[in-house]
This record gives sequence, C-alpha cells and structure tokens, in this order.
Amino acid sequence: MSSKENILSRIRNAGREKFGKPEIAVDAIRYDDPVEQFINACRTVSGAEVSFGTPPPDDVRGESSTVRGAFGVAENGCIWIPQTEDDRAYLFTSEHLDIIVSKNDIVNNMHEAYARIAASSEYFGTYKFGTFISGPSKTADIEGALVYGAQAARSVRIYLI
Amino acid sequence: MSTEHSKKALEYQAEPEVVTRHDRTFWNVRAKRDAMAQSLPEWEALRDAADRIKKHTETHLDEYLLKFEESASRNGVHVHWAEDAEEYNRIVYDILSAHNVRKVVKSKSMLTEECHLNANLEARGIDVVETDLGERILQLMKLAPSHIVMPALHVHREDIRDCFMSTIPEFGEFRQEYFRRNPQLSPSEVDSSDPTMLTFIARLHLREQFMTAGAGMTGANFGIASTGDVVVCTNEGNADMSTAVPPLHIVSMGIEKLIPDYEAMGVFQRLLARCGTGQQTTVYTSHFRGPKPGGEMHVVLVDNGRSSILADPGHWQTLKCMRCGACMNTCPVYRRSAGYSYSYFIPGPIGINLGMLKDSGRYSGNVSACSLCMSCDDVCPVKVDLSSQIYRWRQQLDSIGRANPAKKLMSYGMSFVFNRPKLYIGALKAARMVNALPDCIVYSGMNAWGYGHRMMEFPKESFHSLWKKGIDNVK
Repeated sequence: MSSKENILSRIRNAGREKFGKPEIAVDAIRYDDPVEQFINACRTVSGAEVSFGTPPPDDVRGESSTVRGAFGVAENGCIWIPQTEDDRAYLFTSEHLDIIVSKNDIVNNMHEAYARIAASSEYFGTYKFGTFISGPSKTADIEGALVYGAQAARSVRIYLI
Repeated sequence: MSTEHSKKALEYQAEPEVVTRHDRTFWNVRAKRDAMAQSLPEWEALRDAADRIKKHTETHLDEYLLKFEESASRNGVHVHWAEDAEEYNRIVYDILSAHNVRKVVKSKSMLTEECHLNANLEARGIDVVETDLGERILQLMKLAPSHIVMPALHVHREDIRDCFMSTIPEFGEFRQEYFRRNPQLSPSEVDSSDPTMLTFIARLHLREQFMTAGAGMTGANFGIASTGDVVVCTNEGNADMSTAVPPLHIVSMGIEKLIPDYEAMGVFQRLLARCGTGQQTTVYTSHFRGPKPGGEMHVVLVDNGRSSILADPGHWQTLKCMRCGACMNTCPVYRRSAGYSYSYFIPGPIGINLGMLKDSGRYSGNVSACSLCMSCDDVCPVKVDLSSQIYRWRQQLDSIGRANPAKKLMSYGMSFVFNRPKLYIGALKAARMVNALPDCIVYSGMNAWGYGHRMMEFPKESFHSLWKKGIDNVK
C-alpha cells in the first residue's frame, strides 16, 4: 500500500466518534462607523500611516511601491491584496508600501472578509496568491522589543479614496 | 527522587533575575492576550466554534485530506504524503535535488523541527537558512527553540550582538549602512546591542539569502480543504519573502492542520494572533493557492504519529491544537522554568502531552511540570483539556514503570491506612506529633512531599472529630 493509503486507513480505523459539521453562528463585532474604526486600527494596531486621496505622483521615497487593496477590515486594519501581476515580490521587498483602498470597501470583521473572498471570482484566477497585510513588517524577537521593518516593508501608508 | 524536568528547572533557578525576566516577559504576553479576549464580546462563541470545527475536521480527516489533495492538485500543486519523519525528509530532499537546489530559505515550522529536517538536508549538502529573526538567531547560535511562537526571547541582546559579529561577515558594513540611513543617530550614542540596529543588520543579512536561494520552504498554519489554500501567518513577512523570490515553494503540513473552508478560516484567523501574541492580527495572513507563474509548489502532508494520536481516546483532542503558544505563556511552571527544562522540543502544557504521545518512556519526566492550576484549559482557543490530560498521564506513570518509588511507597502506605478506619483515626491523632519533629527529619529525603515547599502543620483537632461534634450538635 502507498503511504497515502496507509495514512488514510489508520485514520479510518482510529475508531473516533464522528462530530457533525457545526453551524458557525458567531455574532461578530460590527461598528457604527467601520471606516473610522479601520483608520483607528491602521494607526494603532498596524502602525501604518493613513492619508486621504491618491498618493501624490511626486511622492518620491527610496524603493517605494504602490498597490491597490481590494478591501479593508475594520476590526484589525488588514487589507486584502490579491496578486494581480506576474511579480509579487515587490509587495514584500519594497522599503515602503503605499496601499490604496476605497472607503466604500471596508468590512467589519474577518468573517465578512472571508465571506467576500469566497463569494468572489476575482481572486485566485491567473495568480494563485492573496494576502492580508496589516501595516509594516515587524518583530519583537530580540528581548520582546518591538521593531518595525523586520524582513518586508519598513513603513506602510494607506490612502483612502 | 526528582523528575528530569524538576532537576533542570532547579538549575534554571540559579539566576533568579533571569527567571523573573522570563516570567514577566511571558506574563505580559498573557496579559495582552487577555486584553484581546476581553475586547471581543463574542470571544467565547469564537472558542466554541473553533473547538467544534476542529472536532469535526479531525474526526473526518480522511475526507478532508482527500478534498484538500483534490483542490490543491486542481490548482497545479504537487501533493505528497509522508507516513513518518524519514519519508518526509526524503521527499523534501528529492524535490530539492531534482531542482539542483543548494540553498533553501525557510520560514518557521515546528514540523520541520519535529522531523529534524535542517540537520538532514545539511548532512546532504543543502544549506538551510531560517528566516524568522528568532529562528535565525537560534540557528546562528546553534540553539534549540525555547518557545514555539517566540523561540528566542530567552536570549539576551548582548549575546545576539556577539553572535552576529562573529557569524555575519558584513556586520560592520551593515552597521555603517544603518547609521547612513538614520543620520539623526550618532554611532557613539547607540548601544552596540540596540534591538532596532541588530534587526536591521539581520534584515540586510537575510535579504542576501532570499535573493540567492533556490527554494523557499514554509510551514502551514492552516490548510483549507475546499479551496486548497495553504495559509501562513507571520509578522515579519519572511514566509512571503521566502516564497516570492525563489521559483520553488515547498510546504510542510501536519495532517491535523486542515480546516474545511473559508467560513472556518474566519474563526481561526481571529483567534490565532490574539491568543498567540496578543495582537488583533498578524501583519501578514498569506494564502498560497498555487505555484507562481513559471514556478512549482509542493505540499507534503505529514502523519508522523498523528493518526495514532487520533486513535487514542484520552488524548486525541491534542490534534485540535493550532500551536498558538497561549498555554505556555499562562503556565506558571513554564514561565518559571523556561523551555529547556522540558525534554521534548515543544515545552509547556501542550508539549508535555505531545511528548508523551510521541514516546511516553522517554518524555515522562515532563508530566511533573504542572501544578494542575488548569489555566491552560481556560486560555486554549480550541479548548484542548490540557491539564486533565496531564493528570491522566500521571495516573498511568506506574503502568509504564515511571512512578516515583518514594511517592509510590507512601501511596501504598496511605492506601493501607485509609482502608482501615481505626488505624486511620489513631494515625490522625498521632500525626500531630509530626509538628514537634525537627526539620531534619520532616524534610529528610524520605518525605517526597517535603521537598521544595513547607509541609502543613497538623491541626490540634481533626476535621473528622470536628464533623462528628457538629453532627452531635444538630442532633
């Protein structure tokens, strides 16, 4: 028998009582003003800067990139960024990342976020990658001291349009 | 007399300030986790959902594994099955060697620790570079992780600086670059072990590794059966860096990591970072659904004992664990004894259980590392009954020949006395005499319970006699 068959047969012979698939009925947090909460989360939770309008064309920063986010999540400042071109390395290798996201595209929480991805056919078409980004890369691996700019972007600015 | 854990823990107590620092560091993480839990009214509903989703998935694992394989294959991912560590290591080596890879960049994965992948690949001439900062520090210092989420928090910054200076040839150059980019800082005023500067030096050092590696390896926080996504959560973005540059991506995933669908993913994404580090979210929650253009993606599904755990009626629920580390942060024994006091590579309450499941003879020295305070049960996001399981292991120690002989003898003695009421009452009266005995007798090696803490004083009148009097009064 193959390893796959061996593993599956051990699982089937484990003799466990089968638990049914649960209804997920989490009455998740919602906000009176999700945009305000999103801005707040970006600034405090994520450590990102927030501006209004599109990035200025002469916004010259060293090794900076701009990307369009699909939607934001109010509870934690995450922004869904599906891969839309051949290269995705710039999302992580850039020193600074500008993310543009529409005020009309802010959901309350991650349940709504995943429902939106699951319902859409826009993502994972040509490019089979997408990521939630919440602010600059960070680490606290040296004695718990929080440092921004571990491996990926050292700073992130979110432009709300 | 003492268990392996208690001996190591005693050695660790030699430097009380180190113990205090360790204790406070992880207690702070626990406090941050509490703040997260208290800020969400639906917290307990989330835990309840996570528990039930995991129970369902683990008891239908055969179906979900096949579904995952089907979804992933449809996305162009190569799926491999490994029964044990040896087969897993062989599969990974074969993939790498077929692509002539000499260097692998790797994000954090406890499964690769479990299977000793790094040593295995290095022995075959493949350079493995850990890219999580904490893991890289440990790799350069040749140390093992002391925690599953924050693996190097026990290492002091001065030691990290010394290690970087001796192992990163460009240390001086990278340090100069730091001050060139931060002209407001004066090199003479910045401490030579400043964490921001050391992180910057590691950043430049790892960038070179990302650019020159032939393959990227990641673990998997979750595998979504319905779509074939592998979900990896990091704060540093190192899993994304590891996979964005090299064309080949290999995922190592324990078979228990599966969840059914995106609806379930919403529940776990919300719990993982909040429980693990007390953050609302990790910075990156990345969904890898297939290879990038012109690249290849492989997923190795690893059993290595997990299907046997499923067959264990008392302990199968450890499979629900998502390795957030909350049980160690809250554990008073872990916080004061630290990771190296445990003989299994995963410490704390979950590690005690997983170690016993791996090899109960070899790792039984850890089951004493529990005060049965049950705090771990309260913080576990998927409701694994960690402390009850540890209690059950202790009940089984005698049957595997690992019971403490002195305690065993005393237990026999107590059992003898407790089963003979007259003898018991007589013994109770006599027990008061112990109060008058000198410490050299009470705390002699004969009394296993007198080690490490003060014995109680026996009261003048026993509960037994007080109770009898009470009954007489009611009458």
